[in-house]
Amino acid sequence: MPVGFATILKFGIFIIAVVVAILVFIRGKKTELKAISLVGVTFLLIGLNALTAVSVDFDPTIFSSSKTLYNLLALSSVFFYGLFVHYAFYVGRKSPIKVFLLILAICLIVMLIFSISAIVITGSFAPQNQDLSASHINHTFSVLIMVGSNCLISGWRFNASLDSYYEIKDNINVEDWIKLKYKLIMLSSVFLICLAALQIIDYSMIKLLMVMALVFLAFVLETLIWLPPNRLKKWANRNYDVTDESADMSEEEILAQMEED
Amino acid sequence: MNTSKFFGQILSEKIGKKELACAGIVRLAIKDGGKNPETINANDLQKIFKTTLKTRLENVGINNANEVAKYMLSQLTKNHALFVMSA
Repeated sequence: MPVGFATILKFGIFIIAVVVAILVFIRGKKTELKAISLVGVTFLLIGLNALTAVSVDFDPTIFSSSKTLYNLLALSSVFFYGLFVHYAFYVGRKSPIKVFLLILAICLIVMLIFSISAIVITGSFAPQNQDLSASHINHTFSVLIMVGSNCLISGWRFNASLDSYYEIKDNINVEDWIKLKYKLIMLSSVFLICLAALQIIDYSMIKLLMVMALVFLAFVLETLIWLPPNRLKKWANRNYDVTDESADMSEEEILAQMEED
Repeated sequence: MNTSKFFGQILSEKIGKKELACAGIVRLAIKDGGKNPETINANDLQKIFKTTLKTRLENVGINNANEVAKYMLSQLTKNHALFVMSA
C-alpha cells in the first residue's frame, strides 16, 4: 500500500510526541512535580496512538484490533490528562477527580466488552467480515465515549485554569509569562474540545482539514506551554519587574521593620 | 515566580506589616531551612512554613504565629498551580 500524506503526518506526530514526552518527563522529575510528569505520560500515549493509526494504514485487516487499541490509548491519555488537572490545580483541595475517573473506568470496561464481543461474534478482526450492525453500534458508542470524556476533561481543565488565572491576574508579583501560560492552557483546551466535537461529524475533506489544523495548533500550544523557548518567556516578561528589594536588605533591617507597629 | 515577594505580600495582608519586610522574613525563613529562595519547590516551602517561618514570626513577636503559619500553608495549597506553571 502506498504511503500517503496522512500516514507521514501521523508518523511525524508519533516521533515529535515521543521526543516532547521524554523532555517533559525529565522536567517533571527535576522539579519533583507529578503534574508535569503526567503531561509527559499523556504526550507519550498520544504518540503511541498516532503509531496505532499508522499501523492501520499499512494493514487494514487489523482495523478492529487496532481500533480497540486506539480507543484504549485515547481513553488512557484522557485518564492521565485528568490526573494532570487534579495534581496541577487541586492538590490539597476538593476535586471531582474520583467521579471523573469512575466514569472513565466504566466507559473503558463497556468499550472493551463491546469491542471483544464484536470480534468474538464475527470471529474476525477484519471490518468487512464483521456484522455491520454490531460494528456500527460499537463505533457509535466509542465515538460518544471519546467525545464525552475529552469534552469533560478539557472543559474541566479550562475551568480550573480560568479560576486560577482570576486569582492572580492582577498580582504584580506573578510573572506575566505565567499569566500567559494560563491563557494558552485555556486556548488549548478550547481547541481540544472542538477537536473532540468534530468526531461526531461524518467524514469529509473539510472535516479532515479542520482536524489537522486543530491537532497542529493544540500540539504547538502544548509544546510551547511545557517546553517554552527562553525568547518567548523573555518577551512575555518584558514589562515584569524582576527586582526583589528584600534581597538587598540586611537581616537587622528586616527584623527592625517587622518589629515596627 | 518570585516566591519571597509573592508570599511576602500575602503575609503582609494577614499581619499588617510592610510588604518588603514580610518578603524579607519569608526569604530569611527559606534560607534558615537550607533552601534557595529562587528555586524552592512547593514541598520544601510547605516544610518551611511549618517550621522556620513559624519560629521567625514568634521571634519578632507576631501574635498567633501558629495560626499565621497555618494561613500561609492554606495559601500555598490554594496557589499550588503557580509552582506547576512556573516549572
